[in-house]
Amino acid sequence: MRTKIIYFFIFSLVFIFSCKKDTKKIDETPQPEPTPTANNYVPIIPQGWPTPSYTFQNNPVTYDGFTLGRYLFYEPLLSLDTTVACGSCHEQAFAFSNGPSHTFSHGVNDVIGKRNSLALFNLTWPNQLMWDGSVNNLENQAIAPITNPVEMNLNLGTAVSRLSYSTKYKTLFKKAFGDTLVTSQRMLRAFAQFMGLMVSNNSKYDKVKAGQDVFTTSENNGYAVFTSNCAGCHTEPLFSDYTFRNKGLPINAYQDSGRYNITQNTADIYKFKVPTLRNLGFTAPYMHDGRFQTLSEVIDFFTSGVANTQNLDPFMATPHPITTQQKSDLISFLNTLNDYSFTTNPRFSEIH
Amino acid sequence: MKNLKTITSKLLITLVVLNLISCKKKKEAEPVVVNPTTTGATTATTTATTNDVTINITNMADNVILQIVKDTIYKPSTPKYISAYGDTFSVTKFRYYISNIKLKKQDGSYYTETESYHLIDASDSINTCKFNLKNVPYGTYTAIEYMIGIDSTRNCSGAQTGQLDPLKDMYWNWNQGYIFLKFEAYTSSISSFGGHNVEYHVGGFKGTNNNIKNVSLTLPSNLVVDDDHISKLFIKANAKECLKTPTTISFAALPTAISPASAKPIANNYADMFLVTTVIH
Repeated sequence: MRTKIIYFFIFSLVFIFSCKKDTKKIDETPQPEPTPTANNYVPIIPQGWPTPSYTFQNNPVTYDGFTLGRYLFYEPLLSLDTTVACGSCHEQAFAFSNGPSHTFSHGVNDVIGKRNSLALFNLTWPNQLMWDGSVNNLENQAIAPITNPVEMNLNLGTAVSRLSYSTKYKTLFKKAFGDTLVTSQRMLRAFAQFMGLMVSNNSKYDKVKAGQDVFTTSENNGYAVFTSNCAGCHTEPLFSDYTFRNKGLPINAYQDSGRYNITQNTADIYKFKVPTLRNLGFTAPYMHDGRFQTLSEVIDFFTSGVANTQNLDPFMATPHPITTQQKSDLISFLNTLNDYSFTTNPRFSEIH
Repeated sequence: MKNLKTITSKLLITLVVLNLISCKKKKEAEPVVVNPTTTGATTATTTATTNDVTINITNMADNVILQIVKDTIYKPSTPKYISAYGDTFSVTKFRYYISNIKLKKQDGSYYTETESYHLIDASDSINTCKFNLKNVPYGTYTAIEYMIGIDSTRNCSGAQTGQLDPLKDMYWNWNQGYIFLKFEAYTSSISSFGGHNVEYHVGGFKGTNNNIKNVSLTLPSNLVVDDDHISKLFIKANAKECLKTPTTISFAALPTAISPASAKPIANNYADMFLVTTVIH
């Protein structure tokens, strides 16, 4: 009896596996973390935050779509010489900016751009992305760095065809979209699923707002300094109003005219998007050209370094002096905007 | 021992169940059974009230059919055109989007094509210059209206596919949005860059640099849509209109225009390049 049972057991196992062709076939199948429950992968809108401009309307987020986007984000095949991935210049430890050693980032062939890599999070809220607002929809964001000669320098068609020849990506596209067909639309939507879920809302500031923590005296004083000097442009809770302004940086050697390149309206010369202040502790150096290494330098610029250049923002035209104590308090407050749980969240980490 | 028996028997049952489940996927989906009498009845009572209309676009250089050349060296056989300014040139690329096509009925109502985006490429007229408007309601139509370019909504609607796939090479990556029209040529004149190549890429859907052009063409004779046969509209697009009225373009002065502001004169010029020549029923 017992031998019969064992035979039956073996036979059954063989039979079970024989029917699993689809999953067995591909050796390169990446093995990410076990599929979490679906509701972990719905886009979140933290309480009290405005409605995002990108709503995933035609691009419902799934675990597999998000995961495909995550592989793509760390995929050097998407650069001309296969050396640079999105994640090369957008590193999680630096809130997806390029870290303190890179004023400008390196593209393929060690070409250097003229703008500081922006940190990547809360990307569904602004309706125009990049320093100059050249991208109008999160789904199309990835086209810009992939094709930019000073970044990944790859023709979009070549990017799609490289992925379509990869067994690994055929599998990933099938999981995400139902079949192995690689299209630019699917690639871009997967990118949007990954980047759109990068929400950072777990800083000390957020906990204080939720009543789960309290500011120190210095942080509290700094909050008051922030409110009267910075909040006009760096609007809570996203800490940016996403407008384009010339804050009065002395013109650098690149003569970068910013927003003007996009609108060709002379009223936009030297204007750049107001960056968020969240995660500032991870995203040095600062400004569109990374000219300041520390928050102290940034504050010194705002209080005493503003140059009267074309289209200077009216708010910056009058001085905004603060005391040394206020400056120190302001820095304390700004550091409550750091979200360590975001920069260490394993779901966004490098994957190959 | 008794325990072992119950365990093995439980295991057996589990395996049998697993066997059944594991092969479930192979089963074809059950065909949906539809009551033949009811479907038959609906089909019988439904009579068609729409038909297709064929649009046929011919790209011209004034009075001759535009020829696209591949190489950029003049040979005796190379078709040459003279611009309004007086430049001699050959065309290497002429492609553009027309979108949001509408047909105007005699009573003032409109037929609107759904998902109405067409990339016309003079180098591939067989595949791009002839297409059908689907399900046009029966009636008499007097005009056709459309856009040269892509509406601002779709410019901002994220990743597109089909005619609007960015792989169609009609998309600006650096200032995102669609390129509405590409006119590329080489000329015997020498440009201010010292070369002979001419490149005009027109796009832009925002503010003062909105280069979307609305076209409204009265038909030379009424277009009748009925169950008889498919009606046809023949339209001519004169590529040389890119270079004249209101702005006469000199290649030497403007060898390239590849941004919304610089390409504005080209867009203003080509806004009137279309003409409906014939309506056939």
